[in-house]
Amino acid sequence: MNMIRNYLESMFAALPNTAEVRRAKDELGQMMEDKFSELIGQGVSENEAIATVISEFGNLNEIAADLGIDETIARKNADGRYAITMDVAKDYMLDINIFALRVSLGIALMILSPIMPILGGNGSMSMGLSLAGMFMLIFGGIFLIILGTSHFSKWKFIRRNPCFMDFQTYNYVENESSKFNSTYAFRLVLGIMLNCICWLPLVILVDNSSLMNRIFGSAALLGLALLFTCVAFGVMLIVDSGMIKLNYSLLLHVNDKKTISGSYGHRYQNDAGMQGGVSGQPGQPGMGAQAGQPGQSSQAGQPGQPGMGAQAGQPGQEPRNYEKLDGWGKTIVHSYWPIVTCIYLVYSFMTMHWATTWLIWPVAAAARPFVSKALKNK
Amino acid sequence: MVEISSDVIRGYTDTMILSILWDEPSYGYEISKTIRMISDGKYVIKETTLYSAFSRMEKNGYLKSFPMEDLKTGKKRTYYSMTDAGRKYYIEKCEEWELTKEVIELFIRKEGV
Repeated sequence: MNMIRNYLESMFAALPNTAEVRRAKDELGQMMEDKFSELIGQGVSENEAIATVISEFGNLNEIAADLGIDETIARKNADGRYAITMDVAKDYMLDINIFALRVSLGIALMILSPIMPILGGNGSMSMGLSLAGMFMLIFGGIFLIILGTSHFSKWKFIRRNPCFMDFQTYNYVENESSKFNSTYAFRLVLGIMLNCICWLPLVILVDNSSLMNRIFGSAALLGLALLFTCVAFGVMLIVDSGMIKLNYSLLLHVNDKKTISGSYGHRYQNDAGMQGGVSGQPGQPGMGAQAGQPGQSSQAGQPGQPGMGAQAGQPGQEPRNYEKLDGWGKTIVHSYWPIVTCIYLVYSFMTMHWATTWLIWPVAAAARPFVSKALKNK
Repeated sequence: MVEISSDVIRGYTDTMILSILWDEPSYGYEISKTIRMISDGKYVIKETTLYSAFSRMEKNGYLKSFPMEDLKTGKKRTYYSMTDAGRKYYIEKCEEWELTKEVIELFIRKEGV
């Protein structure tokens, strides 16, 4: 009997301690013990009974789905890779959008928070009330960011474990990702523009302050409030679309050279190119064909993608693999745009030179490939 | 010796279990034993297959589980009973099988193999 219990314990050892898993273990244990007792009752030897019970136990994979172990997470296949099926990919992409929206909205709320004391500054609100409003916005922002991050954390496994995607799913994701490109470009440009012109309302209002003061109380304060609104909305657009873009490209990265399926990943596309109707480029050995093919074209010239900026248009070059980056380099490459945003905001608020600080965006975009390259070579 | 392919039979484990539960509630091992007995030992259901079917059918509302003491041994066990939805599902599965059997039968050569 102990042998059977031990066997069951070892089978369940790696599973999470949830109510469903415990129930399954109890039920299976009950059935095994019943079978064992009956075999013993029939005069079968203990060893033989144990052997029979274990051989008729079956396979735990069969109940994995019912245990909720792989409800949201991809099924692990025999060689230890997670299969990103169409359903998983769709779930992931939906979650990316929710995640990006929550985090970017959270950041926007935090940027917006000084608006309360600013608007309160003309005497329309008591100091206490405006400060309370400010903290509410800050906490609301923090809450949204934490909510978004914790909800999305179940997808960490895609970054941490080897995965693979089938051809159809890859094409679907790639297609969705290129569809998003125009949205991404539009949002990025709009976001950067909003950040560039955020000082405009302030200047206009202060210039016409005698008129505006009569209408709004204090023109300077209103201008300042509009400045924060522009920055908040602009940053939200940049962060939201940047995060979506980054995670799409992460998903497109799951097939690497270690998989059989890697042959149609965007790094090694010769097969995909031919299957997809784009004839392979004869005369170009190996990976040389990658530039200008479907998986690649969508990514050319897009900032905001880790370790990929310099990749497009350099046929024959070993694709950069940012998993090879270690520690800090990886962090910087992964959160390049958030870091730039932080620098931009901190510097702008400290100097108040909004008219010139926006230059950080084009500079950052241009520097991006070199930064990731430098970090990788190190 | 020919064995039953688990892929084929998987679609019909529900049918077997529901057929056994049609008259009265039962528990895991008893159901497994009854399946072996009725099939004359030709099919031995694995524990995981059985539990997977229980849990799936309970989620779909075909089965209800409740703890009860075994009348003979006094051991506490999880019993399963059939719901009305389960009965409806069983009847559907039986009709499905009739059709499946009819179609597959057309492709089974009896003479001159």
